Amino acid sequence: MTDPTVSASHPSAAVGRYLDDLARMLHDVDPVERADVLGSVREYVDDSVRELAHPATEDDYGEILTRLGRPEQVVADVVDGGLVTPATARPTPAAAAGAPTAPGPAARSRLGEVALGLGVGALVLCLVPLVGAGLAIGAIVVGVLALRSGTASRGLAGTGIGLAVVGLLVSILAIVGLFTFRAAGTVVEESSIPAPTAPAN
Amino acid sequence: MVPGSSTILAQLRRGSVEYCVLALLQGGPAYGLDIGARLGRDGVLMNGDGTLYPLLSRLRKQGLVETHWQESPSGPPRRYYALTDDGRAQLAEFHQVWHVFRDAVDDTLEGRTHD
Repeated sequence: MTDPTVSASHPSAAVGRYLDDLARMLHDVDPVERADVLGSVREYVDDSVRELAHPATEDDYGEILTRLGRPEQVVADVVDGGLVTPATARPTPAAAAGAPTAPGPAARSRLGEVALGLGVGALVLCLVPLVGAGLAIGAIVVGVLALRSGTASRGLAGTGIGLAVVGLLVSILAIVGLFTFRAAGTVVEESSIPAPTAPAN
Repeated sequence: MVPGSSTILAQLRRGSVEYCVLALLQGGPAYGLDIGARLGRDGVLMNGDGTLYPLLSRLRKQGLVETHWQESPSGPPRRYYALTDDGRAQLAEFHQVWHVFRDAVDDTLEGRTHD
């Protein structure tokens, strides 16, 4: 897409195309800086035309553009010279303010896979006390984060949460069962101990 | 990969050309195309005029130069650039640092060491 403030009807078609190319190549740059570069280049062209002793022809414009250099060279020079800052090199407002940043797209896309892995682990190890429950809770937390971050792997996250819930339930039942079994065993052991008999007088 | 001379030149221009512009204006105000012609005369300090006006614009925004329109003897009015007090101070600062930097580079390249 071209910058409407720049490509607008320059008397020279070649200059118009040149500015359009520049605008396209600077799409990654802050809009204010981009407009400044484009305005400056346009001013150079206009100044050069004013220096001519005759109305500018397309040949004149071509010569002016040659002095400017190819658009890609101009873009490389203004970036190299620090005259503009590409978006990829700019800190986000949150980062600049020192605020914690949200996970990047790559990290977000992996959250669903991590949730699924933890969910499977929780199900497999559900009978191991505490380990299975811990994995399940981790899977649920990561899965919820994945769903809230709008990741593309929502299906994986959902499956991970489902497995984690099943694993957590089994794990809880196993822990409850274990305690019940132990308690019952204690009662049986206590009941099997013969009651002390009173000493005969 | 060993960078070519054009790459080395581009790296050296970064951070120094703007001070060369300020230095050119020490002799008095000049208009954009004139600055470009003087800077780009030998192709060392500038590689084409593409960055000249964006650079002048930035210097203006930084308050290092100021502009005014002045009638031209040979045509329409031109925008002239002149050093501000801040620009002059910045140039003096650069001058000092540059001498130290240049001497250090020369000494190193020529194998001179300070004992």
